Amino acid sequence: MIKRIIRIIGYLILFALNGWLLWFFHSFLNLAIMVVMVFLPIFSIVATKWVAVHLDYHWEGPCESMHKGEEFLVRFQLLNPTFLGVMNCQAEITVTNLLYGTTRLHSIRIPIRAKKGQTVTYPVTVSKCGNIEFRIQKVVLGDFLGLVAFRKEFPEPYVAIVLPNEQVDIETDLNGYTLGMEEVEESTKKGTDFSEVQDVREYQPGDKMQNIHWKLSVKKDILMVKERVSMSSRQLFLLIELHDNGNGLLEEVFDCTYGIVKFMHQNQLPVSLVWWSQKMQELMIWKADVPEQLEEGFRMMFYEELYEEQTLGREMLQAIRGSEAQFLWVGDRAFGSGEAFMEYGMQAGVYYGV
Amino acid sequence: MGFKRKKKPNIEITLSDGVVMKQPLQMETSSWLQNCMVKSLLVFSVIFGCLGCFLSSFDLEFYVLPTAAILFGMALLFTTIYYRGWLMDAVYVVFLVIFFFLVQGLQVYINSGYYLIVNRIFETVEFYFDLPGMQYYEIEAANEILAVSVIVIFVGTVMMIVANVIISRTMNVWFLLVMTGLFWIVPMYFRLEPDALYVILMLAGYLAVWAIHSSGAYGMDRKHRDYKWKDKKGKKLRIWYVQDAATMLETIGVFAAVVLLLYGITSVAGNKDTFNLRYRQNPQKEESEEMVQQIATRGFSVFNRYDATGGISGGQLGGVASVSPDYQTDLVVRFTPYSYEPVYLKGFVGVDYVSAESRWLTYEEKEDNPYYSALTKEENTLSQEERELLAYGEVVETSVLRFQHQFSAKNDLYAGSEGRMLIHNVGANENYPYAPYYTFSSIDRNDYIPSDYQDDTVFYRYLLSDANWGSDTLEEGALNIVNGKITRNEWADYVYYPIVESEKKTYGVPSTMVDIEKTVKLQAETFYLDVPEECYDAVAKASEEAGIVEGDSQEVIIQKVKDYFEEEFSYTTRPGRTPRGEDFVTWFLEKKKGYCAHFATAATMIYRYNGIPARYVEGYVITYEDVMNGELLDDFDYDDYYSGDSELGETGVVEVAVTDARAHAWVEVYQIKEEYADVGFWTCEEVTTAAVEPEEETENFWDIFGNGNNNEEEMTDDTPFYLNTMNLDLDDIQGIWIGLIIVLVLLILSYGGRKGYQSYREYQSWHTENGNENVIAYYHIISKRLRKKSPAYAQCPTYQKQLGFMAEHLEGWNWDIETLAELLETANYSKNGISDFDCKRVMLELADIEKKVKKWKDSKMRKHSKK
Repeated sequence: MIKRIIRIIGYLILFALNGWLLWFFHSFLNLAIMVVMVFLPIFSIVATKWVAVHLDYHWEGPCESMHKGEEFLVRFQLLNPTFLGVMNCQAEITVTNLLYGTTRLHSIRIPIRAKKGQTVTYPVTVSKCGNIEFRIQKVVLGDFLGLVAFRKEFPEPYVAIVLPNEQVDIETDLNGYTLGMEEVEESTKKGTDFSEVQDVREYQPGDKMQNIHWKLSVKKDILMVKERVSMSSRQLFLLIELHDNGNGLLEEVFDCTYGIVKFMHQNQLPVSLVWWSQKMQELMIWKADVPEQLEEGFRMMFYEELYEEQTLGREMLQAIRGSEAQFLWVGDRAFGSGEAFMEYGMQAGVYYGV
Repeated sequence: MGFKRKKKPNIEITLSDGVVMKQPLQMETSSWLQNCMVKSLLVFSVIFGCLGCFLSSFDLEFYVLPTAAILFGMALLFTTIYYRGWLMDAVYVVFLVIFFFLVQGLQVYINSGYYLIVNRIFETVEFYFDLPGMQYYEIEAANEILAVSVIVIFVGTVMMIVANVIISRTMNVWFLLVMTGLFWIVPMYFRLEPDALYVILMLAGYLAVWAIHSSGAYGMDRKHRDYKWKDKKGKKLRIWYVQDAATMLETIGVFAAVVLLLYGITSVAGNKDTFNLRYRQNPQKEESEEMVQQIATRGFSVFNRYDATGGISGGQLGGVASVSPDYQTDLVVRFTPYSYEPVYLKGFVGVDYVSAESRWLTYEEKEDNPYYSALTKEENTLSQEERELLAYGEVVETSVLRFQHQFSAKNDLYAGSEGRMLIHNVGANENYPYAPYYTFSSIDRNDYIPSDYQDDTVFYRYLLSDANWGSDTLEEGALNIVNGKITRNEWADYVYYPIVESEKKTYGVPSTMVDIEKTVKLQAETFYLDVPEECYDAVAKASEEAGIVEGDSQEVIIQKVKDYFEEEFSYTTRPGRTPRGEDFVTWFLEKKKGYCAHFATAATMIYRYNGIPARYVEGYVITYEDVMNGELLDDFDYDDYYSGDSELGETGVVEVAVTDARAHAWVEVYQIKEEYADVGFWTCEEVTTAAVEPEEETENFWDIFGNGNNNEEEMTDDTPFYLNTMNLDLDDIQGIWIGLIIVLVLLILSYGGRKGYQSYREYQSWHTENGNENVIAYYHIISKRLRKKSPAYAQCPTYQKQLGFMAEHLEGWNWDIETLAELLETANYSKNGISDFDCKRVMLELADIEKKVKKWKDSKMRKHSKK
């Protein structure tokens, strides 16, 4: 702003100087310069406004979820359909981790080319899970002479989902767990399906082929699937404490959870994610039998609000489901109770039951 | 043991907590070469635009397209090398050398181009200010358009170097305006208008520079990065692109189009001719015209060693390339004209010519010289004042003439004359009296103002009494003249006895003046026959060339010198400065051109060489033409101002404004006058040739930069370039050589300084308090040295391999590679590092290794270089 004022003053000085020269010399050259100096700012302002009105944008980024430590490209395009290029364009962009609520604003000055615009690509690597939102707060277009500026807001953000690292090295002692799951494991190995059909609904992308209710589909002339509730899922929950101590605890909790669930997937064991939703004030239970469900579960979790209590999730589960609930509690090791299932990283731990 | 890298350069940009960019941001910007091209276009449009404005305003023709192409090429070269660090220095040196020789080769064209431009400015100034008789330079080059083109390329190139620095570094339109503004403002003063093409080019350039500056995207980045960033803790992260040729070009195009459109509309709507018809001179401009006139006429002498506005120089010689009168009034003289001959008003008198200082010493200055002081004390008994009077004035001659006048008046013979002259110092040097020849007395000048200049003052004439006449001492009135100086706005009132050629009478010397006459003669022969060694040979040669032979009378010698100058020499106000170390007289006698000071000095020397006492005089000359242009004062009585013989009869009292253009130098020669009963007379001799060449072959363009390189006589269009170059006189181009040497010394110093600083930094790097850091830094210095010597070493990635390479190649290797490598790794990567004892041990070992590395030479590299 100060620079702009200085520029305006400078322009006025030049204008006055030329006016004086015109008065002094009565030269046609000065007259012409005077005319140029009068009309040029008008042209400059109108032209820039015109560009600002026609300026459009869109974000591009990976559709699928990314993993921590994995580099991916996020790009935004400013589209300029006019024949005027703008050198003085500044975009104010925030990058926010919606889960942690951490955000940072940065400004980026870019040239907007005529009939083309500009594409800016960020090669980003994320070290914390969550939904990472890229949002253009505003674009400021300075006119050619730098005297005025026009603002334009582009509200639509791009959100990248960053899951825990896929390669979690986990060594689990599954003795306790396998005892409880023996029946399920055996039946799975035999190829017997111990799951129950709870509902029948229309097919949705991502549904397994084996769940399609072929007979009904033929009758209704539309694909129908059987919605199953696994026997085992009723027996095992992974309760995730959405609490962070600021020292990377939650990241370890996510990594650990992700590793366990992946392990379960590898061993074809069903699992459900459970967490306490501070926003909804209710216990969320999400089946994560397949990777897609797992990703969706994390995506939902990433929209949650973190709470300060270290064991709020466990307490709420106990309050709602009672002591008979079977679950593995994933949280701060220092607050673990009961028999330890495993320890992960520096802070996280997994414990049986209540 | 856990290892972790200690130092890692932070090249990451943190966009948010846990969101970083480890790879460069990508955006669409232009390559550095494209950026250079656009910047060169900017430089070109501003410089070529303003030069074009200047030339088209003065209606000077030049080859537009070739000149534009060459200048654009220059702009491209300068903008490109500006991004290349050391290459820039190297290219500039090479360029300067090539440029220097090109300039030498094209000197005729450059000089001619410069003269053409100056002549055109003079023409304009002469026309605009209605000045009389300005002198013009001779144009040597046959092709004047080419000459202008060459000077434009020369000047444009120099300007582009500066403009490129401004545009590449600061993109500051104010600096550009200061640098180039005069080129289009000066013609405006004289109501000249440039061509629209150049105006549009220039304005588009200025405006584009303004626009690019306001965008902030003009910074120079020698690493050719697309963008830069600033990430300070707690502050907003800022990323900005460095520059983009495409948008810059679009901006230039837009501005050019808008300026073209607006200029076109203005031209159509405003109608230039109608606009000019409405012109009314404003009072402020009128007030400025006097100053501008002075600048316009003196502006080309700004490099003179002393003021050369046309007034007298006080005996200083050769330090000015040209004399440029400002045509301002220096003296107002009121007197009665009595002859067609010029009236000389005597100011400075030079007694001794000092070659080393290129100046004349006055009698007082000469008296300070111990040798002369001793001489004068021994050889005469006159007082200091008397000696000064004799050295300066013409007391004997005046006495003779006064005696003649008084005697003839008493006897009604009407021979001899007495005049009265009032002189008002308006703008002349205040140190001199400006008395006419054979002035006897002056009244007390303090606070004296003639009545017609001050209403309430009664004007009366003050005449010296004759009370002292006949005494043995010199007269008080005469002494007043010696000590007299007319300060500014002061009047002097002189009584003088002019020699009127129409009727000469001989009455001899008054008896009281006989002894004084002897003293004067002795003094003349003692002081006024010295010829310095520095010019002795040249003076002897000139004397011979003038045809002076033994036995020639004084009159014959004087005339032969005048004839010699008249035939062989030419007058010029722009002779060029005498180079330092050159003798002024010798230089003039060789070059055979100069102004009055040259002629008078040289003639004085020749006269002295031939035994005629002579001295150098500066003052003012009032010509008959000036008298005719003067104001006739009807209210004044002729008899109050003049009595006695007059060539013009009874005229009237006139007041003449004497400008600085009438300042002059001449010679006083001590002659025995037969018509005055063999009395020795200091007479005024005009030796400056009257013939002024209509066109001058005078000042060299290079004179304004250095000591003058007056080789133009040898340089002609037909002279091959290499001959011109071979004929260079080192002394002539001393200034340029000194400049080149300074540039080279600065380059060497800057290179040496950089190397020295690097060495200092290296030394500092391994003399810290942290022993581990010292070990690593020292090892890196050794590694760096080895890498330079052997490309193979550069391929060794680990300490182990590097030490292995050393063990293989260095003579006398006796260290355990494993141990040393482990120590280095621990020092570099371990949190704890190695112990102080180990640090010292390793440092000692590294010192030994360094010695071996210094001695070692890679045989492969040698072979390669031999090939």
